[in-house]
Amino acid sequence: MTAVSAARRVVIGVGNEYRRDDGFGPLVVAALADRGNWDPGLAGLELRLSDGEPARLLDLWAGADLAVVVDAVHDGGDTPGRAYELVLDEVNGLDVNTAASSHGIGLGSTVALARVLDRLPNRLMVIAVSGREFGFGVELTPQVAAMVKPVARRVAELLTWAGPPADVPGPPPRTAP
Amino acid sequence: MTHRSDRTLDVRSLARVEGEGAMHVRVRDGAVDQVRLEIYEPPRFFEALLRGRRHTEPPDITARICGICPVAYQMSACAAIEDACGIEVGGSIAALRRLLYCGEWIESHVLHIYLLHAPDFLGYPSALDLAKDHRDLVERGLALKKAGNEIMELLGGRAIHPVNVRVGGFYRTPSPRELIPLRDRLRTALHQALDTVRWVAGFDFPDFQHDHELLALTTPGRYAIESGTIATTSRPGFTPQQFEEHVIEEHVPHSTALHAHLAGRGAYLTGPAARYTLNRQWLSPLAAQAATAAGLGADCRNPYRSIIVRAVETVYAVEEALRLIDEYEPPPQPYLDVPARAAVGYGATEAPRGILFHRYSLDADGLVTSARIVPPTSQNQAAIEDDLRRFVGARLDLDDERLTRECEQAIRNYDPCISCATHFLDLTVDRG
Repeated sequence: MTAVSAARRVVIGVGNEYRRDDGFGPLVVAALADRGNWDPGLAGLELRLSDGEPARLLDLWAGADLAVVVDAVHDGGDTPGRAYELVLDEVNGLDVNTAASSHGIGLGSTVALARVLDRLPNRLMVIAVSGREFGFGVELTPQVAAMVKPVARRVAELLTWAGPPADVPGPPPRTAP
Repeated sequence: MTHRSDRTLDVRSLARVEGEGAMHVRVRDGAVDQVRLEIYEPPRFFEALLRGRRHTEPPDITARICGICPVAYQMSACAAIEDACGIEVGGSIAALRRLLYCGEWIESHVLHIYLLHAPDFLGYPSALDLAKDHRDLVERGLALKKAGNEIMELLGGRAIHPVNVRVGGFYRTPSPRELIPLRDRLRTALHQALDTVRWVAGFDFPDFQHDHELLALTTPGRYAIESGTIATTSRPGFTPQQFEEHVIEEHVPHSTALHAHLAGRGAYLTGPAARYTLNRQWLSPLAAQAATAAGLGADCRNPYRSIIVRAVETVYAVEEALRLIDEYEPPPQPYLDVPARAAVGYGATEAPRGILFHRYSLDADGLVTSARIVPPTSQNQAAIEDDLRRFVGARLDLDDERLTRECEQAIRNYDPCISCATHFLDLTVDRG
């Protein structure tokens, strides 16, 4: 079993900024980096990027007390910018083809694999935003772009709610960002 | 339903390949009428994005095409820009580039072997199911892969989309002391890599052979990775500067990607099996011994056995990384100056999946006026379709579900990087 660091908190932005709405996760991480300049609640927070490749994701979150993954998803609807908050067991059930992964193994399967290999963080949350355009380009759908700062703010709230690591028994209240 | 004379198979979301894509198979009168891999090719987007950029920018921009092989894009871009500017990078900087590339080969090959390809041979629907029964095997794969990650992080600055590579070399080069932890990790990885060869050599491989031309870089004296001339199995070799005279791309109706063929010869394959076939004599003694013990002969023309070649190449990459670390002496400066000039430059390197070709035209101010990128998966597309046509033709008695599953498995033999070469890969089989 991977040892869990009582202090380690990591936010992982999954995506590719050259795949339109798939760039959402990295943009939220960039917004959090800006926010970290003045928000003391983000002190010591690890900000990481991932293209969703499963083995690297396992390495990024293994041993963390709290990991927040920010990703863009296909949700089958046509409401770009719609936000979802998922806690561990819900992520585990994510359909493998829902996340906009380009690595043949989706986020749900990666979480399941992490569980089998004892590489889950103590607490894992996913904030997913529905995207519409995943073709090549750098411009996000306006509704998705409009969610970057609210989701960064929501991540900061989650970290504040989580408080001192391992002190919070359950997940925080679920409200839309 | 089996034994229908007309039918269609669709794989609308191909699992366990790098990216998403589609395959369509049409059967008419009991024979395979059409096989199409549908590809939307991102390099064309990047080619447009590169026009008007400074000559120092292509390595960073093209590295974003693919999260699995960013080093390949950086190395081919650097080679082409340096070729245009008349600069040859050698010595310790070239050695560090090769070391970084070894890290990418280890990462990419091990990911494919353990998480994407091995489940097919062992009867598991996914790596997750494999891990449930054989956790130790998957743990070994992840540990081996991590050796590649650590090379990428140390030399590339981070594990994905490395930021330390620049035209002319690196922004920063490591001290020999910084490489010591890598050496320790790689020594363990070498045993894991050898065990991987033994493991995959024991799989059952369907009897399937192709006779495509094979294409790979070659460098006398060593297994070609980051440089070389281009060799084929049936004609004299040529240089990266001559690539476009020999490799012809053409539009096909079902794809936005271009199909590549060798002038006067037709479809060809690049990638591990081509490299092995053309460069086997340059493997290290240990990697060659592992290949022989695993039953690889003088060539590899059964695409199912490409998993063994990837494992052997992983052994080689680990050994080569150890050699490069042992011999490393820091360069006097981390990069060579590469002043721009109006010229055209060409670069070709061996990405994990095969030859990655770049060509850039620069103006006198060092701005990119045109760019061309030919990734390995789009080069292989025509040969893959040809193989699948024969593959499906011999299995028309299977029901749609099983035929679809076997087609997906067959496609995974080629480790297509659809991040590089396609957008959506769906499989359709039309039996009328």
